Amino acid sequence: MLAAAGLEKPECDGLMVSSYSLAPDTVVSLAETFDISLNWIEQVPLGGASGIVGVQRAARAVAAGDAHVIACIGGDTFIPDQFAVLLGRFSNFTIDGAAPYGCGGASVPFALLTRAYMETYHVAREDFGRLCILQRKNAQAYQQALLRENLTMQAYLAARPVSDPLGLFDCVMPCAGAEGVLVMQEDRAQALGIPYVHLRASAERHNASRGVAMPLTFGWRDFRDDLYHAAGLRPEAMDIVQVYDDYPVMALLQLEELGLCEAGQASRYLTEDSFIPRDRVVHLNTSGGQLSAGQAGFAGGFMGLTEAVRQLTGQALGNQRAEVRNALVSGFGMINYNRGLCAAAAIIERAEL
Amino acid sequence: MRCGSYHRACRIVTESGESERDLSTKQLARTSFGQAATRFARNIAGQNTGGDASGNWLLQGVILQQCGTCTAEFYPPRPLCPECLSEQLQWRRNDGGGRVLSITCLHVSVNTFYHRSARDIEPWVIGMVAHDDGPVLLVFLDKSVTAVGSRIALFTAPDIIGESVIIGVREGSLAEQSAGDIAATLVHKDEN
Repeated sequence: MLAAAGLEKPECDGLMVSSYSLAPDTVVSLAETFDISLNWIEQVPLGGASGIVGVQRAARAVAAGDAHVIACIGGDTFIPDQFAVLLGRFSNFTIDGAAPYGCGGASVPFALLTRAYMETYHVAREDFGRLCILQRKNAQAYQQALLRENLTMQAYLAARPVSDPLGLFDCVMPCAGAEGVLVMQEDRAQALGIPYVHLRASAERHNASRGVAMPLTFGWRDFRDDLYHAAGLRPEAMDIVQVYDDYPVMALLQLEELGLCEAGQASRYLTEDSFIPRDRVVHLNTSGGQLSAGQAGFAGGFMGLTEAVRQLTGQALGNQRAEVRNALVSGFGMINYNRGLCAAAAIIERAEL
Repeated sequence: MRCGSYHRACRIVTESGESERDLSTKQLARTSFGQAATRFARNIAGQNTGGDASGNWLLQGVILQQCGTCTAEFYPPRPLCPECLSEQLQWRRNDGGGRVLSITCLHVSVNTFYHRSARDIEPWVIGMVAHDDGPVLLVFLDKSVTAVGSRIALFTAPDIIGESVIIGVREGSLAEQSAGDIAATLVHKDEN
């Protein structure tokens, strides 16, 4: 990132990191590893919400003058045995209430949520399948995606069951990888002559579904009006939408909660090739999402953000969409016992050069 | 109150012996909260069966925490009351039932102990249940319960390491028998 921006290492005076496999190291021991002195550090352990939350905090730090150039990095390696232990020992609730039943990790909570969503809104497996097929088509132009071969509805439906109604293609493949962005003031980016975007607004909401036995909303609805108001933009102005797709049901819920369409209706606007809510094409999960690229731990929480930045700056690694100005990115993380706890979203805008 | 006791031997033999079993079952180990719930359940089971409940046991109901200040009941266990933040908590056996919120049949688990490739385990059913008194529970669910919204009876039994787990079955005269059948699979699923 520094090389691409034309920056020397000492010019980076802030570092934000998200990684579960960084342990036992931390953001500050990483600073020593990189041999850099820093004015501002942050470590965000919020899974799929980490990227947006971290960039939001970095932007506030830069605005306050605490740091001038902050590198925000999400990265993880994947070691199967460590991963299983992590998921089974995730929290005290998980240890006592989920892992003893074989329910460590995210698949069971999302299977239960998917079934509840299907029954509440009369949605079928095929409706999720269209999203997976659309994203897989996007991934075919994206060399970094681990899964690029064509996915048919027949193959989607016939995939081996994981935790029904979830089959193999509803679940992200764990992998290793990293994503990152640099956060700085606009005049610095201009002086460097690098492509950039504006962070127009961002928001986070945690434990939003408390007190609800079987929640079907997770926090975006609570802040979406404030988010769009802060950005000065309407949902209809979003050209690019990158929603967090650890499981298809979550992608649909984010589209609905963030006001792209009505609750329970997202799949009605989805075909195997397009997402067209309100008679307007929205470019959705243009890199194929985690369902195609794989989930590189907490880096999965940065993927939508980096893909949106690439699209808006004309630097997409495949699938570059034309005439795109605004992007909505959302993240979701921390499946504790039976539900996810962290919801975040950001609106970014192409800089007019 | 109905209560039963199951005394089938819990024989555990894996291909590479005891160490593999230790490694695998370590992932089932509870925190101190979960262990306290087990001790409470085991005590009641011992009293009700006239023995020490050292073997397999089955208890109607579930072990919840109750706040001594505001009487709220909650689960999973925690160090303070989520309603009033009081630390004056007690364990309580609640023999109420619940309603099924959602169901899944689990074919693949991340928990090593449940890896089907390592053991001959059939896919098993997990239910998310709204207890009549509020808490939401993940339970081993009777596979004949297939409809969301079903009323179920709840039981507590030991798993393969002797810690308590919750079992949900159809309400009615066969409830205890069904719960016992599921309890038996829990302690024997590791047997080759």
